[in-house]
Amino acid sequence: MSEWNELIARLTERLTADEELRLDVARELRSHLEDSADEFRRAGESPEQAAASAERALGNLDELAEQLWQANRKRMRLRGVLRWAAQTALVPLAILVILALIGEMTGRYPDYSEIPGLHHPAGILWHPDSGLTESQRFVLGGPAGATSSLEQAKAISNRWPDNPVYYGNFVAEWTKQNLDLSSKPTAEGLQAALVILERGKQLDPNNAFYDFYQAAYLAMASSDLTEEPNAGYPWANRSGGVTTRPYQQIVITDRRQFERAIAVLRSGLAKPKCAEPEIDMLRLRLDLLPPPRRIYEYLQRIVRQTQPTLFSVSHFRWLAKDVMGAGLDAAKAGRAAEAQAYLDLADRFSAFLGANAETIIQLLVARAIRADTLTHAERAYAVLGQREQAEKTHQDLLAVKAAFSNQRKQDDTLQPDPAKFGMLGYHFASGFPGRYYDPEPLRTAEHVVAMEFALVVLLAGLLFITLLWGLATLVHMFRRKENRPILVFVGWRQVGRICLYAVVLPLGVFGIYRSLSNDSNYGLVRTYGKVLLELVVLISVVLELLCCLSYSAVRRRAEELGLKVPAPIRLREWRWTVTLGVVIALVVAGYLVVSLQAGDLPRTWSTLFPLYDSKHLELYSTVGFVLSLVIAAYLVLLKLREYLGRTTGRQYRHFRRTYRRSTIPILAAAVILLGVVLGWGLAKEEAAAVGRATGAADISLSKEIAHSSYRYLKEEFVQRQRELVTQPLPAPFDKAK
Amino acid sequence: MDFSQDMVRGSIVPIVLALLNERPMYGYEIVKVVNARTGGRLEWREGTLYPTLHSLQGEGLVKASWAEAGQSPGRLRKYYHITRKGRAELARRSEEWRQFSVAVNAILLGGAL
Repeated sequence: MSEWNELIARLTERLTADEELRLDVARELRSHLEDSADEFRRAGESPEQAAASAERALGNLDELAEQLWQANRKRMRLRGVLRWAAQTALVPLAILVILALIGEMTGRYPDYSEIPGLHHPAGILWHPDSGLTESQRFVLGGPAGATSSLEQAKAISNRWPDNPVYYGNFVAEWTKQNLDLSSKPTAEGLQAALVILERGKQLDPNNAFYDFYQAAYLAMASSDLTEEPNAGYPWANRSGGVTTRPYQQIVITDRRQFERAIAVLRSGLAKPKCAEPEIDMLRLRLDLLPPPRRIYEYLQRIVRQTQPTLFSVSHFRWLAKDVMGAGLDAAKAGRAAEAQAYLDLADRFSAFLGANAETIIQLLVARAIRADTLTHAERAYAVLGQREQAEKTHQDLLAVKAAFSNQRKQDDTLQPDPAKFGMLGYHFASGFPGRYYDPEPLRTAEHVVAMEFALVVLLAGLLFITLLWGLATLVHMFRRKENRPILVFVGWRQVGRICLYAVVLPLGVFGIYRSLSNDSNYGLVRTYGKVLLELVVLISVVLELLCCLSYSAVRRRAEELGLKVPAPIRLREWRWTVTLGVVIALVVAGYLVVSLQAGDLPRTWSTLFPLYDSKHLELYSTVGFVLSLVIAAYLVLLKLREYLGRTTGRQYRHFRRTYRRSTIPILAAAVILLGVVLGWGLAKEEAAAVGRATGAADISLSKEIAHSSYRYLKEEFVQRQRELVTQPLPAPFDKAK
Repeated sequence: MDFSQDMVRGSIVPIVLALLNERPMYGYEIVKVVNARTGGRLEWREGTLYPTLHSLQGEGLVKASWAEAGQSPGRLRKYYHITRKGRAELARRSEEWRQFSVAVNAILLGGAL
């Protein structure tokens, strides 16, 4: 009754600091007065008398107003603090959570934009979270001003001059720049190279790497190597055809120097090892990096492993060609013993390199040297008229060829199933022999990353709505001093209900669905459409439930407070929208159920690059992709329908603003809760997967032989070297004399 | 017989808790039940009840929720429910009252303790 407005306003005047509480008490008192007046009316009083009697029954109004304030002031103070926190702290906290989530996802090396170009990633190491000391960063990236890898290597070596790995790394970089296979070294260049390599020998006396390089320099400087015209030997290529591979012919221009080259080569072969400094440096640098927790950190490790160029393999092969060319040359000149010694030396060289190989490319070069040596030896024996020896060598060559062929067949059978590869793993590590095992950890990690992206999208969507409504509320409150929207608290039970139905249940169902799906058996290259759809469904359901349940809770509370609220939405008014939603839901559910059998889908190479070529979008992923768009369009339709509906009438404007203002803390809290709980859970899952990837299943340059069928070839070389090392080293010049 | 205001005021909390222990009630209903059971002898000022209920709510002894009244659908009333803490407080106050009344009776009526 309107006559009680003034009375109630008087009683609740001191509660205006908490508008929601004031409205609540006012509504309660009004209800009491109405009940009381009804009873007086039933007792025979007129409406006016009944109203006056009800008012009198309340007692002393000033005393009551004071008592109401006293009874509620503690609560008002506490609610004031909570309201302040909800209005001012939750939204910035939600923004921080999202930023932290994105920051965490990118890992400790945030600038992963360098991955596609495979450029030097030194810049990323200056990130304060990398946890690296200044000297560690120096070893990883060199000084800040260094513009080339040679400058970096030199600076690192100068800072720690006695470290053989750092010096070896400098030598590797220096030889890359200074040993050109297309031209002879100059006398000054040769002298400089010999001095630099000599220092390497002093620092790492057991490493034949420097001896072989010295020998390569000396041999190149003292001879001219060419391919013999109109002659060659047949060699089966990968496509099944036969190519002709040339014989080497050499013209020794400085015999003394060439003899010195052979002597240095022999001294290297007497050493216990040949370690490639680039690989040692890579291993050392990888050990310096913190253990990866995120897929991007892991990919950074892979990027680093693509950087070693291992120029030494070309240079050493050239040296071997010099030696076998010299052998053939000696045979042509009738110097049988010298020819035999050169060819034995080349064979010893191949066995030594093969036994010490740490990467597949080194192993392949060792095998090529071995095959070339045998073909040159066969020719040399033929030239010398040693038919029996030539035949025996031919049989050895056939055995090597057969092994080579078997190896190729084995390679072909071990071709990876592209569908098993993760999208990132495939594009960034396709050249790695890690493809010889199931890259499950990488695949799992990228599925987790996809979910993390979805989480960020969901949270960003929620935050966008929150900020939009926050802005609208602020503008309204700034422009109008009266009839401001109220920040209502729907109660902890309602908050719990919203969390349960909108967050916990959908995520739980999604978790069960994921455990039934065999997505983790396939990389995102194959399943991206389906995964996208799954995540779009999840995001849509959570978003829509959060909005609907919040609306329902705020509407109910506003009704309790006596605000004018729209009638509850009846499904029959939304029948077309609901029907359309049900149809879409059924199609999506059908697709997802069918796609649980994803393993039966065709596997073709043409489906590998669907993101780059729309022609190759396979049906499987296209359907998922299209359905995702349909869901997004449906949600837009739903929102349009909602905002163009009758809840937007002028009479509900105050409620609408109250709804928006009151929903802001709910959505912000949802962002924080989801971000912290799910973000933490997914980060742990990703770290576990990446941990598995860096453990037994590491895609590592220095472990690639062990991960591939080439390990059998390596074993052969090791066995051969073990046999050869007991025999004296061939000495061509001694025998020639 | 009129009771002194101090006695009435002191008895409000245990009475309200005792009634809410029976079932959830709204403010006006509590007043009516008290008047009916005491034959109007307590003569509560109706307004006094609400500050008491709000204080009890602030202390966590009762909680409130709005619901439609059974006999008049569409009309919302604020129902108060006793909490677990409220029940413990009721038990404490009942025991206190029992011992207090025994002690006062012993003096005023000459009974034994």
